[in-house]
Amino acid sequence: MRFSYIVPRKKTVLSSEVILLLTFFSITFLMLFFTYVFILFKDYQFTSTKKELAIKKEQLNKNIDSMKSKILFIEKQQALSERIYTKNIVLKDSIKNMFDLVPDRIVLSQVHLLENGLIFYGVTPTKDVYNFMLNAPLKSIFHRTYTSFYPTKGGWLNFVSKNYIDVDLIESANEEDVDDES
Amino acid sequence: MGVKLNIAKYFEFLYNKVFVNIVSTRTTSTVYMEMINSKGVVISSVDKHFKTLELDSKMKDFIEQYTQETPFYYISTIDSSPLQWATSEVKNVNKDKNSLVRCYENSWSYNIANNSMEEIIERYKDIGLDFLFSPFSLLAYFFKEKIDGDLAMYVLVTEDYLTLTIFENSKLLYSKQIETESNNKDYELHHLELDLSTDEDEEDGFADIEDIVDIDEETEESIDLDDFGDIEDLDALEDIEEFSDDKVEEKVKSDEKISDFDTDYRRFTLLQESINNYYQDSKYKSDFIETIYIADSVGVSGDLKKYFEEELFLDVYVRQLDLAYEICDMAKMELK
Repeated sequence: MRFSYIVPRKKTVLSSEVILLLTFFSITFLMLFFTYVFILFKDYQFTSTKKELAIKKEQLNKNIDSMKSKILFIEKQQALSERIYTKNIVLKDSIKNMFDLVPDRIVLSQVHLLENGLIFYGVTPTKDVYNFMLNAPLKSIFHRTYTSFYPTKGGWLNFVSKNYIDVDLIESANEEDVDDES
Repeated sequence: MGVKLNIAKYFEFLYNKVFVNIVSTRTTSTVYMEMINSKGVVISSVDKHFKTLELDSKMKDFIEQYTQETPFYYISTIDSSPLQWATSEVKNVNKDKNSLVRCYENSWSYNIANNSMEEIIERYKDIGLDFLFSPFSLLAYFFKEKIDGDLAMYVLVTEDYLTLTIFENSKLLYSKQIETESNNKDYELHHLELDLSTDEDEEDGFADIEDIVDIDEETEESIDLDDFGDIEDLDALEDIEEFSDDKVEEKVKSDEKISDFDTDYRRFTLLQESINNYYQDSKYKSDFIETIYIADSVGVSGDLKKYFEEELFLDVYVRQLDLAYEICDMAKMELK
């Protein structure tokens, strides 16, 4: 039932002080909320970045391992090449020395280089020339030397000289040297 | 906005409600304050009289002292201006742009002039108004169990005005808002004298009517004593037996009775004129009125009843009414 000419004013529990207080708390709450959301976002961002970095790290580790293996392989190759190079140099020097050993009067037709030995094929005017001028140095170098001759049509002698170094003897000699030094 | 309203409704149960009810005469205001809890039980009530019509700082401070306790406070007043009326029409009542209309149970309507309402709203603009009641609706609400009966006249008697209605089976036949002659300049002068002699407003319970009577008594007493002072100038009072103290007191009481007699007779005369208008005007059915119900907010004397009974042969029923309390009751009804 309406008796009054006018309608009552809208009543609110929010006085100006309460509105001020609520505004303050709302702003504070919103700031906290946005900070929380920002932290959550950053946390998510960091987590995803961390995962990406972990994957990258794993990939890099794999790459490093691969590189390491490659480096190792290359180092081995390098060492092998160096060894081969050294061996070749040594061989070259040995061959040079070997050819220096050969006197002018003896003509070599073939030379077989073995791992522990050397085989000469050639022509000598005489056995003596061979024995004195080539066989003597060969004997001083190799442990065992076997030579066979057979005559040619021109009166010279073809020869085959097989020379071997006993590795066991060298190793034992080296061991003895080490023992002596110690 | 809806959400805000719902929040207010939700919180309404947590707060007490304060009803501030202001009843103004031409020179005084009575503020009746009632605080109820969420269950509708009255926690406290207080009223205070202010010797001003306008909302002064004292009255404002007194009201704000209570309204600051809760956001759910309702300020109500009643329109005592003569620029209001009631009609039996309920259709096309909104056509008048110069007045505001309300329908009472869709059977009759009561109006207030816009400028009168604006004046009241302006008067209380510092504290605001929630309810503005019409004396017609108050009268109908006060006699709600009677107006649906046979033809009878219903009168609201206040200090400043008389509100007269004639109802038959809840149908409004006649209405009039009458200013009483007690609002003349002499009356205001008496109150002005009283204001000058009284420093503080008084605060009490439901003693408004008694206070008003007391004020009248004091006023009359001061006039009588002044009158005797004039006589004293002419003759030696102590030598005259008729003007001893006992005689003066008897004279004061006698004058009080004369004053009440005058006021009530004035009211009777005004009401009698209105009844004659009702009988004589051809637009009214003019059935014979047998009963008159008087809502008495000022404490009328038995003389008024006697006048109606002896001169108009009416059955008179006088029911005491506290205007501020009734306004409070209506404000509560509005919120239900």
